[in-house]
Amino acid sequence: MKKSTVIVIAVIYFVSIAVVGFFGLEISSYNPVVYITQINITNTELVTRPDNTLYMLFDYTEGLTVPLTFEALPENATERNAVKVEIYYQSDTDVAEFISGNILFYKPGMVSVRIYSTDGRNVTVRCDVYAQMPDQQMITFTNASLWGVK
Amino acid sequence: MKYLKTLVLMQLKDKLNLSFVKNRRQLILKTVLAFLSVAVVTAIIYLLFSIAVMLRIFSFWESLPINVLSVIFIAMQLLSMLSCTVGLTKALYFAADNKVLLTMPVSSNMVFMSKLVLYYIYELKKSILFTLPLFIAFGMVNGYVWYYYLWLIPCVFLVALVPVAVGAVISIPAMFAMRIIRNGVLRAVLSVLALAGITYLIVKLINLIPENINLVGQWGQIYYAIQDALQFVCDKFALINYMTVMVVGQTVGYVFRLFSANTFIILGILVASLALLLGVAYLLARPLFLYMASKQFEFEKNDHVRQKPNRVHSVAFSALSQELTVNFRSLTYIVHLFSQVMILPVAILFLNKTFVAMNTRLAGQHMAVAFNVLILLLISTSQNSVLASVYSREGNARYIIKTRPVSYANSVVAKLAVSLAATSLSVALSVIAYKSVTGASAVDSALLCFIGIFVNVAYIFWSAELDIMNPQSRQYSTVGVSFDNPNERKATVLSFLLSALFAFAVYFLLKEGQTLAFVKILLVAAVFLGARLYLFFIRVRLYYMEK
Repeated sequence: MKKSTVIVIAVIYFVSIAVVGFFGLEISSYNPVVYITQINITNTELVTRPDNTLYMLFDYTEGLTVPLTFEALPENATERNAVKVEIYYQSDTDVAEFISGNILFYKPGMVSVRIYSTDGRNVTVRCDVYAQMPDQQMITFTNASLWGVK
Repeated sequence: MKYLKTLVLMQLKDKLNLSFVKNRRQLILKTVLAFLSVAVVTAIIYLLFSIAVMLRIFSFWESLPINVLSVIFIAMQLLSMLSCTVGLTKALYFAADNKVLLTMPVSSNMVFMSKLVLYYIYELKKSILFTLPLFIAFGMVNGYVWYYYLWLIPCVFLVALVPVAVGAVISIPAMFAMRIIRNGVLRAVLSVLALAGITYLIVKLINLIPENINLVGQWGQIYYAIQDALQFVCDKFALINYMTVMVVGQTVGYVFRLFSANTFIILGILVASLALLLGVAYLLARPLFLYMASKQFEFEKNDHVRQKPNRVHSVAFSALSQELTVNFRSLTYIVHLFSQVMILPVAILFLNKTFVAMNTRLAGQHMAVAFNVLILLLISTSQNSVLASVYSREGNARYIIKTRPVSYANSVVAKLAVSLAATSLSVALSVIAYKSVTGASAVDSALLCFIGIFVNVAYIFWSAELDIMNPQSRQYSTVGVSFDNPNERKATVLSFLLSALFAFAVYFLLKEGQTLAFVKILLVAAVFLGARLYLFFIRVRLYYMEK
């Protein structure tokens, strides 16, 4: 086939998609996008500090795995699964890692987790998760840098 | 240096028409046209980038992120590296002109260097036509400072050297690989397997298209998916990504800097790497080049042709057997045939995946079916438009058909047999793809399959008839295969007309129901096929008997 023929066929091909997309779509009333407006952490260990920040406390054992459970609201959100989780602060290097819905601790310490929506509104909830040695007592202030042993 | 220039020019003249250099008027015209080409490509890329910025596809800010440019640049560099590796492997170790070049009164090093310079010139030409406009458009969209555009000039010269240096080094293992797979059958099998693998990957990618695309509703997720994908590509090809950073700068802290310490570190590493790669190529590829170029092919050839007992075929199969043997000797033919069979089903699969993802009304569904018929017929028939020169391409050997003591129909149809089989298979696979995506009934799918096959068979015979009634064999035997054959032009126009007619007919008949519409169209296709077959055979008989 000549180049010109290939180009014409390619143009017809994409024009056909555009024509169906433009003239052939079903006419429906405007269906607005419902964005996520709230994210709630549903772990039973969750504690709210006086300044409304959140934290969870666990005794550290080797291979401590903390499942992070949460729900995005409202229930009729268009993309309820459009939520991401990331660890944005650690009290030390390589304290923990977020893998497949769980926080996997490698050593005692604290990590700050951010759960945020990715559907456009960027609704965010933060939580500090502490893994302490059983014989230690943690200071669980908002400021992560104050983490230490009493 | 003078000898190198002469050698390069000599080889360039072989590939490019440089006659305009000596004519001042033509030189000015060519230069203006080259500037215009760069300007047009820049304008097109600028337009596309501006649309992306306006729609905030890649960034919430009014700018185009560097990683978008980087991904495009990575793709261009990888393609260039591939083409340079293949080209240099052939040019350095397997080109017939090496033997002639080595007889010139220049050192063999000079011949080797001239090959690299030649490929560097090709790459530079490509870079000026595509890479430079890409970076200029990026700078214009993001409002870069004026000296960025000056900085691009040395960068383009440097960046064009990368694929050549990489290709020169990779050409060494590539040469050994090509020597290992010298066996024709093995090469054909590997080529077909590679094509099958590529087809499989494309089908897998097409199947990733979700069933209901709601761009507005899912935009948040799509936006982050795009960001992740861009970052993934940039991370995987970090070395090429660094080159982009070197050219366009980066954000340090909160401040964007065109020139930072990183720019000069990357520049230094790039220059050192290029020197290392060219050094390796000179030390390893040069001796191999000399060994391969000075090999005495006349005496070292060791091809034992296995004798096969002569098998007597029936008259009907004899002509077909000859065609199969002649055609399937060529690797290019096999690859072309495989591509011909697979392109159509992949195109139909993608088309229907896109249509299914749209929430269409009844008219939209009718349009989708009509466009399926249009694309199905358009691609399949256009692929066969070359059959309008099937007999003439043989040049003066075309008249052998007339000298055979068998029916002419046997010989002329045998030449079309492979195309008939390949097209029928391609149409059948396309209809299977159509059925699998749209869930069309078995009856409708079978009817569509037969419509496709009937129209294609009729078209193939019509194209061949054009060649028989208006032979161009004299042109092929004198000018070669590169002239504008009026029969092929006519066949291409017929292909477009036929496809459009059948697609329109399907669209207007679909109101009566899909099955009924397909039955009616099938009847028309059957009558059309019958008429074309009748006309073909009657004209063949007439042409060979009375002319």
